[in-house]
Amino acid sequence: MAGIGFTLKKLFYKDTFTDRFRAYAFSSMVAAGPWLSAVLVVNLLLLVAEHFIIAPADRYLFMSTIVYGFIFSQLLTAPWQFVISRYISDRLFQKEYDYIQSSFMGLVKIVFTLALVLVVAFYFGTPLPIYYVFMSASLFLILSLVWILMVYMSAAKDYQAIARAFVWGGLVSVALSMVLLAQPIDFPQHLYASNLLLAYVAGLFVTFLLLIRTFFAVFAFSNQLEFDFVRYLNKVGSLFFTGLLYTAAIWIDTILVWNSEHGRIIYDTYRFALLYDHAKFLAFLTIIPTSVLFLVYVETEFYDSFKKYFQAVRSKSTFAEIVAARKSMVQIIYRHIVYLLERQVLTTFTIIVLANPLFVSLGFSVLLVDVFRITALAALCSAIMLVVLLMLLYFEARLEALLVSAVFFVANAVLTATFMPLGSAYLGLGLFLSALMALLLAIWLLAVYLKRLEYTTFTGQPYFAQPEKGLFISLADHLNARN
Amino acid sequence: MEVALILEGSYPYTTGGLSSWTQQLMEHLPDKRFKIVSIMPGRATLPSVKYRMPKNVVEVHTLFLEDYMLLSPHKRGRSVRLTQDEQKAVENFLAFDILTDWELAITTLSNVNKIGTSVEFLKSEYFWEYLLDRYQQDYAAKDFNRHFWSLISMYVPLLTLIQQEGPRADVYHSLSTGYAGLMGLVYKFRYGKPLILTEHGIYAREREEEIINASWVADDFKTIWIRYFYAMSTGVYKSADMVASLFNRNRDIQIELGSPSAKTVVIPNGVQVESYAERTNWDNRTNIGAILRVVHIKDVKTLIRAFKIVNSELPDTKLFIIGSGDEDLEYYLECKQLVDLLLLNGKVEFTGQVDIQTYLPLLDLLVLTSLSEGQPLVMLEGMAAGLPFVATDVGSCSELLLGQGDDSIGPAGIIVPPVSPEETAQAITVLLQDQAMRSEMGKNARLRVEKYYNQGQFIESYRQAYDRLGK
Repeated sequence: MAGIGFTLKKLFYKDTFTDRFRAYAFSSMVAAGPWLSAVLVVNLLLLVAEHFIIAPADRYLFMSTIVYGFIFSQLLTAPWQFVISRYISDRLFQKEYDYIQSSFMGLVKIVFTLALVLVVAFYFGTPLPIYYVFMSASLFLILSLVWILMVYMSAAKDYQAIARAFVWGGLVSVALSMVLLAQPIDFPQHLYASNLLLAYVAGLFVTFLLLIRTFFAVFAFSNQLEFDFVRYLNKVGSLFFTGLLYTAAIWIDTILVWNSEHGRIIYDTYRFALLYDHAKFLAFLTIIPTSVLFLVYVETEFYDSFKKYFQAVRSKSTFAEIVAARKSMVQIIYRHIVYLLERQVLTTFTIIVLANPLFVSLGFSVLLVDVFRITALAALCSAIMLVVLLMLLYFEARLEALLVSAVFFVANAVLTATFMPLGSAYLGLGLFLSALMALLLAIWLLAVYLKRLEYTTFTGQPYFAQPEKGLFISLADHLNARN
Repeated sequence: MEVALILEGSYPYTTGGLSSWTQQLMEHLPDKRFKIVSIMPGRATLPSVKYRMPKNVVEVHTLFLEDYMLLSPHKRGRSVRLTQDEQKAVENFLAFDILTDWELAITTLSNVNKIGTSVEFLKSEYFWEYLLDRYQQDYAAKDFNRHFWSLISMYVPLLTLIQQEGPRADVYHSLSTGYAGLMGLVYKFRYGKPLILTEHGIYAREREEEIINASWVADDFKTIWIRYFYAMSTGVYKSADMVASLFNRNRDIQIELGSPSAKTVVIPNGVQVESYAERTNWDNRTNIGAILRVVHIKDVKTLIRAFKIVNSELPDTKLFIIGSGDEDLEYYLECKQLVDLLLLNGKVEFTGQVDIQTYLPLLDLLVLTSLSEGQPLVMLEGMAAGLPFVATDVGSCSELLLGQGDDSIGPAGIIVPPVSPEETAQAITVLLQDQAMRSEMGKNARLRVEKYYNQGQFIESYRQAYDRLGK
């Protein structure tokens, strides 16, 4: 008789292990690099503005506009950044380059639409003059686009082009601000705030143009499937929320402080907490070392050990050899996390100690120092946490990464709400404690995960090929089919 | 009384000896209600139903080996908690150990609530630890990646299958070991009902041959696959309440493979001799017939080559290849090409699926060149119609043609070795040229079937078995 069991000829033995190197490194760049350069520029602008006698209200207005632009463009785009970076790296791996430019066009359409809706809703009924609103809205939109472009540019690994774009944009902003403060355009209201904002937006626009020029040069080909990436919301949907929650966690304390007795409202439009906002922005400047070092490290030593492990998994190695490769990789990971931590601790503590004289010499208020110190510690924790989080993502521990972000967010909200009423001396404590807590959790999860990495490497694979299913996959197929 | 017949890759979707046998059994036991459990490869490739089912068939329940595709392959493993006894049974089962406690292993592994779906179980840490232990013990120097995926691809369909639901019945009757036998065990243990096993061939042996010839499996995995099929067979041999075979040689093998001899019984196939016209005229000597599915195991190519030799000596001869060719289309086309190549166009006819009873009177001689056989029903039919045979020495062919024990009827054909076109051709030529021999053997054929391979006996044996076990 004919047995069916064996003639099936279906061996699931296959080669789908993740030897491709997911380009998550972007996130540290996106979350830190350009935003740091932007903070620098804004502070420079404020220093420039010091030389002119500007009404405090105008300065607060300008600061708030920038702060809002930053925070909300990050919140809007961060979820997509994680998802799209995964999509890009998969397409790059499969050498389907035409999908990349198209996905950018599709994502820009989605983000631009969302941003417009938010802008209209937010500025509806504001007493601010129309030209100011227009510039603020432009700031928000351009920033959102810049964040997204950054993901694509870091996937292309063209860090020089990124740096160049930000340097030129920054220079334009600073130069233009000097010109405009000396010879201001005659805006009827908020003269200096409007001129400063104009200078900043103009510089940012230059950055955007430079970035997009490089983008189209690198990803020259396109197809009609602009919304194909939407399927990744099903495939790796947790990345969306990991990005959202991590970013929201970084800012939820700020938003709570704005809405407390420490916050004020200006022109019925922006809330702000002068001391807290300024201190926190400065504090996040201190994590430059981690961002840069991590990027270098991911591209070099980590990549090599990561590749060796997956090569061992795929290429006829015995289990003992796989374990050996894992152990040497894990050692390298730990060594580097410790190394990053050392460098960052050294930097942060040096700045904390020197904060008093430093702030005085830079002309910042001494009142900032205490809040700066605690938020610098928080920045330290959140930067290392991001590194560990990205490690988790490299190993496809997506649920663990999501958990870390969620804990960070909830803890920051709860702790900030708890400590805030105790007085301004406690500002930033919630952020610091929650970041520390989430960092410890992330390290613990990573350690547990790496310990049984072989288990997850093998059993984490889908056991057989199956057509993908899900709302967003159908949506993507539907949109693709339209073309 | 309800009887569930469990088949693999067979009735009602493919034709062949086992399917005809099934149809015959059900038609002649009209007072029993039958449920068919048909195990097939996949939904997408399911052939159409090939039989008009008798009225007493109340349900056809089709199980698919590829139904694991309905599960999510991404599920995370779940925690599996087993008692020590359960662990031992499960681990023996997974190691394809013939000393497995089959009842405990199958009850545990087929219980979704206990161990999760097959995917969840195979992703559990428990299973991972077990797999690692086994690997370290026996395969530590081997490619782990391949080892892992090879085992997963064996276990996924297996565990998914045994977790499937099945129909309720008073008696379960598996018509082979392998997956059909395994499902018989699942139902027996799950519902506490008796299980009968009837084997037409020896499943594990057939798989073993297939595996040895398969080029896509590495040698060390051939050993594992062979163990797998033998172990699955042993489970049924040991646990079934009755183990039937068609002839003595197979019964001996069943005992050798673990069946307690007290449970074994030989129930030969049978045909209704009266429904075949008795042949009186033996003059014609041109039409050679072969009733078979055109598949590799029937070795149709040897048949065609033998016919080439016969035809060059007796140019007016024709060969009728009677039976379906769509089961293995590639092989079917190769056979047609061979006919072209040997310039036998017009002399070899592929009739496709036809009613055999109407064809038999046209034929003068039947040939069977199979590489492996049980007790071919078509042979009994041909013999009942008084046709002499040339057949290979496989399965019970020689028993059928030459008789055994105290049978004094005399030969009903000529036995030749498998894959021997020349010997086959020689036997065919001898028979075609000797009219006296043809008529003598034809008469013997009918006599032997009448006496030893009678449908009445066959049906009665199963009626009694059902009544005895299923009350």
